Amino acid sequence: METFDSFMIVTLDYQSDKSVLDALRDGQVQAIDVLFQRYGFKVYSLAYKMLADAEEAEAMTQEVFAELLLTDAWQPDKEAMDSFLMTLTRSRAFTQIKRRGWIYAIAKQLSHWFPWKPRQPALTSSQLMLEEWHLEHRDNTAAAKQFLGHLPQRDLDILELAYCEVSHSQKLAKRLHLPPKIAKHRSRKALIKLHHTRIRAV
Amino acid sequence: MTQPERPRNWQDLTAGFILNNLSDEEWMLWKALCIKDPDLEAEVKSMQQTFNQFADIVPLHAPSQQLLDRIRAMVQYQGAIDSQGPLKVPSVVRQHHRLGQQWMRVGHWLTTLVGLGAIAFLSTQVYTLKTQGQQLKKQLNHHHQQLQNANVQIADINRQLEQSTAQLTAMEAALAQAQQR
Repeated sequence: METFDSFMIVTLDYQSDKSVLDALRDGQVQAIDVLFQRYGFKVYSLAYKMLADAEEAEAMTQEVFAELLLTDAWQPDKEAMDSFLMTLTRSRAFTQIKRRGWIYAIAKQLSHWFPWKPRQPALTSSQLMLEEWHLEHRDNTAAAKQFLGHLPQRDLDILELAYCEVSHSQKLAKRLHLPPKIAKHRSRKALIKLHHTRIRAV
Repeated sequence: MTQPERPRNWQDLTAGFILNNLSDEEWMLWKALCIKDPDLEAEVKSMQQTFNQFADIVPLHAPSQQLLDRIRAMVQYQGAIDSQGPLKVPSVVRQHHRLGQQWMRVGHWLTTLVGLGAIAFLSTQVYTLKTQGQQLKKQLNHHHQQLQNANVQIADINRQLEQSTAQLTAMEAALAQAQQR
């Protein structure tokens, strides 16, 4: 049975995201491994970077995959699955951060002082999958770094902050020590500039 | 079908929408623009894709193996359910699981807080008792000193009494001799 599963995974591995998702919806449960191998680490890593909490990041990853699998929110003809998942993760993570109240802040501080239980280390198989993923996608990472390198460092910092850490323009302005109008203007201009660069490259 | 003419700042509005920094006025303009020009959605998705390049430079972390197992279980569960028609149970299960985790966490921290409160209370009590003990010790030392002083005074009085008795005896002897003469 395991050999059959491996064979199915290898077969699905060469197919498009849409075909893999269709296969999953048709009952080929092995397809989830392929989708997780493609995007699971990226979704988890972004959620972890934004939420700074491993448990919450895992719950968020599960939610994002549930949204992908159980709804028709992803429109393959309009958007790449990668972009859809990242947008969804980012949006959900910001909502989650907003939902956190002062109790969370106290609990977080307490857990920092008195760790309730040690962080569960990633198991070997997961670590191996990550390393495999890293090898497969290192070109993408290098390309993204090179592409983002077209922006001046100042603009890059603004967009990176807006992407991963700050969802509100007032907070962004505060973090940048700039008046809100200037921060808003600069972030928009930087994104438009980056977008034009990408469109030209495409 | 002709494309409706877009305002000059449409890209600025699109970027503002993606960056979540549209003002109320801009938001109204943006909404009207989206209704008038449905093709704008493609532009939004394209710019969003540009913005998502930042996800490629986020440092990678490995989740626990249980995460993939949970997602597999969710898929298998949904697969079993689908044969009986569409159902949204997994989201409820997920929420329940998550709520359970949150309550567990709240419980942990409440216990920790109660424990910390008890430790703080006991520490205060110990401190108070220690201070009272020190005061009692001081008082005891003081009383001991007073007792020693009283003993010294009693010894003095006894000595004086002995001297007076000796003088009295001598005087009685002298009186007896005088009477004999």
